[in-house]
Amino acid sequence: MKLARVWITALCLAAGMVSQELNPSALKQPATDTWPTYNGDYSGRRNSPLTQIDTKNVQGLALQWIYRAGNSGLNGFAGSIKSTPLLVNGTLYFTMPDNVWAVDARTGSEIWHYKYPENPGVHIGSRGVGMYGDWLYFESPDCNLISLDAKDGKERWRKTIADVKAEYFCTMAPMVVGNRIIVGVGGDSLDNPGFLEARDPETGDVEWRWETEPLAGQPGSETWPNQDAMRHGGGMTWMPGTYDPELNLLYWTTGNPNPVHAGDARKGDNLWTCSIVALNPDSGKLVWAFQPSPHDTHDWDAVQTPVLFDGEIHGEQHKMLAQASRNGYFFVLDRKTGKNLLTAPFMANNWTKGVDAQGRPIPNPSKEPKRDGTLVSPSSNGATNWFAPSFDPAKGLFYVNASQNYSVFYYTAEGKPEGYAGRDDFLTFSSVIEAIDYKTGKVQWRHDISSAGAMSFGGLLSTSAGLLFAGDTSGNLLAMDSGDGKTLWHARVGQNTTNGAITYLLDGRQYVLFGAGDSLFSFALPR
Amino acid sequence: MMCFHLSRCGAVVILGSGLVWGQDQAARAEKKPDPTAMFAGPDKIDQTAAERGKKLFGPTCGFCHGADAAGKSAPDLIRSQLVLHDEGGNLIGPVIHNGRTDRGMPAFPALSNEQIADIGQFLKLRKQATSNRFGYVIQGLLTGDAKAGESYFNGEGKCATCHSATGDLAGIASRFEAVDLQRRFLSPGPSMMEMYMGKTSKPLPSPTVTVRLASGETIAGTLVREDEFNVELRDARGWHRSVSREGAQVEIRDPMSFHREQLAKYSDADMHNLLAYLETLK
Repeated sequence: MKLARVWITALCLAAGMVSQELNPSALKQPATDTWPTYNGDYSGRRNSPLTQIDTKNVQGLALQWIYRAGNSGLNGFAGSIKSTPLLVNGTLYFTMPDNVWAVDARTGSEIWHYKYPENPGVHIGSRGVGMYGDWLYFESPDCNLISLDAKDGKERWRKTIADVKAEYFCTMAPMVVGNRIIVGVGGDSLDNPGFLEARDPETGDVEWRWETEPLAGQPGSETWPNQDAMRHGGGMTWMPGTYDPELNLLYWTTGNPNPVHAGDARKGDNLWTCSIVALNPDSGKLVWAFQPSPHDTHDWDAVQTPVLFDGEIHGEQHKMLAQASRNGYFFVLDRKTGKNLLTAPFMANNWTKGVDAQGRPIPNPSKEPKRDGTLVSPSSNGATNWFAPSFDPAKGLFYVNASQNYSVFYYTAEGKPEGYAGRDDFLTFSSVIEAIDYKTGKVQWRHDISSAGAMSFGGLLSTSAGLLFAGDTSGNLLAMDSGDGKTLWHARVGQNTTNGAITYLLDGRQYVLFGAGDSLFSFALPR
Repeated sequence: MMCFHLSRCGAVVILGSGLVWGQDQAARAEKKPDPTAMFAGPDKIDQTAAERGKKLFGPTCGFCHGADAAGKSAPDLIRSQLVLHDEGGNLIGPVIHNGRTDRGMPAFPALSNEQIADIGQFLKLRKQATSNRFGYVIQGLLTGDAKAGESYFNGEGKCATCHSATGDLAGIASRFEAVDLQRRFLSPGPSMMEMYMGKTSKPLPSPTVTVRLASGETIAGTLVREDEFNVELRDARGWHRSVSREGAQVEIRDPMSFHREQLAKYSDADMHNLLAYLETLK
């Protein structure tokens, strides 16, 4: 099996001279003429080295084309582009639930459109595809892993990842690491355990599986009341991770524990839910873990991108990992060891009693959901969410689309708490782009992007030319000076950004591509 | 993993893996989708059959599995793999008919296939009631002290600045359920959760805006929309006006800003006491 794969990989590499296939080495560098994986490269920084568009000429950015994905069969909620397109050899690949498109990056022409059959999985979003050689990988709402031929969108095979009858649903963009396809799952409603799997790119077969919850007797099991609680403990793996090829560590993040709002049913920290974990990508074995939200009761998945960078902090050089987490805290870890280097709130909150010796926020039990309600900031939607952050290594600034918001959390279970066991009632929304100095955790600047108390779901993109691309809640696309957050360019397209913008060179020209609502908007400088 | 909200200007905002239905999109959408359909789960349930199944399940199975099927001395059937994959009794039927005597479950050979299918529907209904949080009932909110709530209303909370227990709020408690009243005094106007619960609120009064142009001219009216570049408003004569913010001074007065600022100030006790007081205004 292994030998066969090596052969096919070698054939793909040889064929790469003439075909449209993806050279795996592209994944190890910041994107220039390609955007080959969800975050552009393995670091999760979404920071492009391209400098053709800069702070002086960005005002001239002009629309090149629009592609409206009107053939999705989806509307409103599901029918928006939350995926980050891949760009490989002049073709863009992007998704919505049940839908994959290939679009010509020069012209915006549709090359092919793949439609998955009607199915009962939750159609809430799709982050995109993974690419290996000539092949694409897509997760369907009912949790099949589907492999497509990138040339024509023809389905090669589909393999089950998780059981839709148990109310798992899948949204993640598969991530390619070496010759493995990493797939994660979602679904909070029926107390399922989370897991992450590595699949064979040729067959889709499972190579390894990592379970969010430990088995009885394993490290972490002491943070649960019993085996049954662990087997129903949640901790979904619904966002793509990052990877350090030198350390050969795969960094993944996990969602909230279950039952979601019923803390008393699962006393303890509930490892490895709401955690950042480092796994060996060859075996799926846990190397280290850090938990941003111990014993979460507010639905604060800690799945935000674990961004990798090297530099100095507290007078020492470190290989680091940073996350602006849904619970409102910014964390910097040493990514070799998982040791916490910094914890700081990036948004005011009222749910903690401080930070413990390991750098983890200490939840205030009085702010757990109650029958008569507890007023908590942030809401279950969090101080941020799945929106892609960005990191500029030259400036040392971590950019995040953040929100100050409040909610009342109710505990509702009668008898045995199961599923959500409660609900929160959102009171306010707002959105602001924040630039966090990673060395101190201090917010260096804020740029309000919300009007009428609305909330943005847009991701961010920074470039070496000192630009930060974003969108506001009034249908504007924005380019800001990444040093001070001042707006340098905007275009009102009438739809709010729903993904993170990407940038790439094509014919020597730098493009910036936004997903907003059901359309892609391509911009470049006039020739 | 998901969340929702209805903003003040009537533009629907859905979070989760969400998007914004701005007014532009809302106008373009031909049919408004049922927002709760997504969370109903993979099964279509025959409610009448489930009701019959419930009556059978209680006396037959409830003693060991619990009347709610969440498990007692026998396993939880809400998240049982066998039940989740059952179609019309094809999987649970043999177990019910033959029992699992090695594990202490007796056989129930007298139940017909139709009765077993009804029990299957009841179990699917129980599963749906567990997994769809928009069906959960919020109750038991009245834990506060009405006297303390009244003091808060007239004192620290400054509610009496704009509201009166005998004026605009007279009879408020008979118009709303406790959970809606609590949410409304915290954050008036429509909410996304309310929409998911099949309820509606009147839109809030729009903010007013005054723009002083560099020329010295002043334009005032009701705010339509604004961003960091432009302000759109409806003036006193009903005309739509848009103004560039460049060189202009823009002042927006939102009558609801007090409610938003107050959110950072309430303790949970303040919130519960205030609700207890408002509940006395029948």
